[in-house]
Amino acid sequence: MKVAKFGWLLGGVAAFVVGCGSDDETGSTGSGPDVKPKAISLLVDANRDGLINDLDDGVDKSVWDRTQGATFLANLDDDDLDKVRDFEDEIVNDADTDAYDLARIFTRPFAEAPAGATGKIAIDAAAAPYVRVFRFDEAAKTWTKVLDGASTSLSLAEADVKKGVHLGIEAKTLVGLPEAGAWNGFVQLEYVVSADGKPVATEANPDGRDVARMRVAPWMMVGNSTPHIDTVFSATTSAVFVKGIDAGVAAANAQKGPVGYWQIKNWPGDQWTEDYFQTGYTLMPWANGEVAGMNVGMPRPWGRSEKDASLPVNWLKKARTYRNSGYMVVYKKSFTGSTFDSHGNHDLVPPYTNGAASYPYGRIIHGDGILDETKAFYDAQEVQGPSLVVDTNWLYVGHVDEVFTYLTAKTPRGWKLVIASANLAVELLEQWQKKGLGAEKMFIGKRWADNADATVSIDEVLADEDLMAASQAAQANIDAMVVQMKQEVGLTDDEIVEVPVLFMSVRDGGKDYNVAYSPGVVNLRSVNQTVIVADPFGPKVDGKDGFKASVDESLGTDKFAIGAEGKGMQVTYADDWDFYHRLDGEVHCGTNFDGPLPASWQWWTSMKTTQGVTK
Amino acid sequence: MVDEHEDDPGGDEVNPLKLNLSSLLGGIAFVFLASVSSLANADGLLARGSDLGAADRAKLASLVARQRRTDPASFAAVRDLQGIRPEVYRERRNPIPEVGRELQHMGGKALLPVLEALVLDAPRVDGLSTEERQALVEGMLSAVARLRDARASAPMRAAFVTTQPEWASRGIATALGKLCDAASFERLTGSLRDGARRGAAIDGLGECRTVDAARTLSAELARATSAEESAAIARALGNLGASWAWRALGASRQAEGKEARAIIATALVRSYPETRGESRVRHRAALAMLDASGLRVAVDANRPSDASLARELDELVRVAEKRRAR
Repeated sequence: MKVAKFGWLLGGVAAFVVGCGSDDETGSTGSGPDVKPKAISLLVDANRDGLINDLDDGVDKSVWDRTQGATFLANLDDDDLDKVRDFEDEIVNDADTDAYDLARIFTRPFAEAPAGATGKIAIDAAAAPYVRVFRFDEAAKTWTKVLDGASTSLSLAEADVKKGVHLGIEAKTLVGLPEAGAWNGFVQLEYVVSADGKPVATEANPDGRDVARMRVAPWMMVGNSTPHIDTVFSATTSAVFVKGIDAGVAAANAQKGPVGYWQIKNWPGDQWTEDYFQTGYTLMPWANGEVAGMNVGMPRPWGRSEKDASLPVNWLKKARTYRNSGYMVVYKKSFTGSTFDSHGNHDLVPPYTNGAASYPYGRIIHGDGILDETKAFYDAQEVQGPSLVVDTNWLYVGHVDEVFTYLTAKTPRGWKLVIASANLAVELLEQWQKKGLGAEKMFIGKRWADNADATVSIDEVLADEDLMAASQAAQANIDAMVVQMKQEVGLTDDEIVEVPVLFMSVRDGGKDYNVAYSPGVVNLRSVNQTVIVADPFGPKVDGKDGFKASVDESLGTDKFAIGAEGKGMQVTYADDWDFYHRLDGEVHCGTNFDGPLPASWQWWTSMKTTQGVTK
Repeated sequence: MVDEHEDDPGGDEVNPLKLNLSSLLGGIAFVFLASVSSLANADGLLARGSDLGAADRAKLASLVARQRRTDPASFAAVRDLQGIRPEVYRERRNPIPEVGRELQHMGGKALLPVLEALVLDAPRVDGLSTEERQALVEGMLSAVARLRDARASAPMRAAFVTTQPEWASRGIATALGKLCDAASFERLTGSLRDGARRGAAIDGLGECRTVDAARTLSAELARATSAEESAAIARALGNLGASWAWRALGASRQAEGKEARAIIATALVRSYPETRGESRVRHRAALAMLDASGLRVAVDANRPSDASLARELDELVRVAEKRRAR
C-alpha cells in the first residue's frame, strides 16, 4: 500500500458526520463561518481538501475548474487479489481496501423534508457507461451497485432523504483509452427532492435540486527526475549488471532512503525492462494534504515472440496487479506498433514554464511514430500534455532515451537536459590523440554480439570514415532536437550538459540509422542524487577511463551545477556491455522504477479543460 | 533480382522501423531460390551470374574459388549468419533482423563470400521471412560498402542496372559511392536522369567524398524539382561534406575536403531560402556537418535577404564556432 488510505475514511466520514453534528474525530469543525449548508445537498469533495463536509457546500459544485471540483479514480487495481481488476466486476471487492478507491458522495440528511418526500439521484447519460456508483448500507456494512450505464437514476425513499445516503463512485476506464470512446472524464450527478410531484424548494435550493460535477483522475507518467522514486527494478539475468545497479541503489539509499532494488524473476524472456511498460499514477486528494490513488502500468503492445505470454500486459496482470497497483491497455490490438512503442521512447520532461506554457508536473516527450491511440491517450490526460514530439526516426532503435535525459540541478529551473554528444566524444578522442595517446585502446576485453573483438584504438576510431560520418550525422540530428527543446522549454545553452557518446550506422530499409557505438552514458538511471551510468570502457587517459572522467566531471562535480545542491550527483557505473550495450541499449533500457504516490502531484490545479462556469 | 512482389518501397516516405510486429513475428516462410550446383549458371540473391559480363563473372568466380580453398570458414560463416535468426534478433532492443554489423566484424574476408552470395550463388534462404531475407541482402550490401574493395566494383555496377526494389538499389548505390572509383562514379552520375535510380544515385554520390561528387550533387540541388528531392540531396550533401569523415581520411585529403565543403556550403546556403519543412530541416542538418570556417564564409557571401532565415544560418555558424572554440 502506497498511502495510508484509512485516513481518507476517517477524514471523510468523520468530517461528514461532524457536519451533521457528531463528534469531530479529526478536530476539524467541518464548516466555516461563511459557509451556509444546503438543506438539499449532494456532498462531494468539491473543495479538494480530502474531506467531505459543510465546506464543500461553500463552492459551486456544478463547476469543475483549477480551483474546485471533486475527483474520482478509475478502479484499475485489484484489492481482492483475484487477478481481476476491480472495475471489471460490479461489486466492491473488499470493504477494507477496494472501498477506499471509491470517491465518496453523500446526500445531506434532510430531516425537515416534508412528509412523503422522495429523492432521485441521476448521472448524466454521456458519462453513465463509464462509471459505476455504489450505495453503502451502514447497517450491513455492504456496498451495492446502484448507478451505471444500465441504470442512470436512483430513487430514494423518504427515510433515505431524511437520513441521507452514502455512495461511492468509480470509473471503469480512463479518458482516452479505446473503451472510453469520446467520454471527456466528467460526470454530473444531480440530486432532486420532491414531494407531491413537485420539487421541494428551500432557501438554498429553490428548484429542489443540487448538482455536483466530478472528474476522473488522469494518468500521470513517472519520469527520470521524479523525486520520489524508492524502487529500481530489472528483469536482467546479468549478474554483473545487477552488481552495478545494486551499487547505485545502495548509494542512493545512503543519500535518502529507503531505496530498494527489485530483481524480477518471473519475467517472460524480455530484459528490456524500461521498454516493457511505463510506470504512472492516478491520484485524488486525501485528507491532510495527502493523495490517494494507485500505480497504473502501461504495457507496450507487443512481446518478443508471437506467444501471448510474451505480451507485457500479461506479466502486468500476473505480477503487478494487486492492491493499489494495476494496469491499463492503451493500444487497440495486441502485437501492433513498433520499436517506437517501447517505453524508452516515452519519457517525461521535468516541470517547466515557458511563457504561457506551463507544465507543473512535467510534459510527456516521445519520438514520432508511436501508435495513434497512444498519442491520443497522452494528450487526453491533459496534465502532462500535449506531448512534445521529437524526431527519433533517425535512430536505429528510435528511442528518445538514447539521446536525452534530465537531471536535477541547482538552477532556477531545477533541472538540466543531459544529451548524448558525439561532438564531445570526438573532441576528447582528438585531444588524447594529440597528446600522443592514439594507440590507447578502448572497449578492452569486450566483444560484440557476434563475439567479434570490440577492442579498438583511438587512432582507429578517428580514422574510421564511416564511424565519423555516422557520429556527425547523429550530432546534427541531436542538435536539431536540442533546438526544438530550446524553443519548447526555453532552455538556454548553459542548461544543456553533454556526455560523450559515439554513434555508428546500421542499414535498414534503404537508409542508415544511428545507434550508440560507445556505451550510451546518457541512457542512465537516476535515483535521489545518484546516477547509474553505463560503464563506457573508454581509453585510459592519465590512468583513468577518459570517458568516465568526462562523465564524472559533467555530472559529478559542480561544473554544471548538477544535483540538488549543485555540487554534482554521485556517479556510479554498471557494466551493461554484454547484456545491453551490444544489443543496442543501456542502463535506462534495462531498468525501470517506481515509487509512492506523490502528494505534491496535484494535477487538479493545472487541467486545461474545465466544465461549468469557468473561473 | 530480388523478388519484386516482396518490395519494400524504402526511401524517405516509408519508415522501416515502423515494422508491424505481427507481420514480423508471424513471418511467412518461403523459398526464395533453390540451391544450384553449377556456379557458371548460378544466380545470386541480388543478380544473376549472367548480369555480369563473362570476364567479370569468371574473374569473380576465380577469386571466390581461391578463397574457398584457403579460407572455407569465411564462406561457412557468411552462410550461417546469426542476425537473421529470430532467437538472436528478438533479444535486441529493436527486435528486427540485421546482419550488417556481423559481416562488418568479419573484415575483408567477408567480401568474396558475400559477393558470391549476392551475384553468383545464393545461399539457401528457405524459411526466412520477407524481413529476414531483406535484412540478409541489406546487411551484405552494407558490408560490401564499408569494405570499399575494388573487387566489388563490377558486381555492384552490374547489379545496379538490374531491376531492384528501391531499398536494394540504395544499398548498391551506397556501395558504389563508398567505393567511388571512376567507373562507379560514372555509373552513379549516369543514373541521375534515370527516374527509377535517381534517388539511389543521389544517396550513392553522397558517399563519394570527392570534389567532383560535391559539384555534381550541388548542381542537382539547384535543379531540385520538389521539396522531397531537395531534402534528399541536402542529406546526401551533408554526408559527403561531413567534416569529421574528411578528417578521418587523413592529412593528404584535407585540401580536397575543404574545397568540397566550400562547394557544398555555398550550394546549401543558396538554396536555403527556397526550402520548407523537411527540406529545411535537412539543409540545417547538412550545414551542421560542415566545418565552422567554411560555413561562415558561405553564409557571409550568400546571406539571405530574409532576416529570420539569416538568423537561422547565423545560429548554425554560432554553434559550429562555439564547438570549434571549446
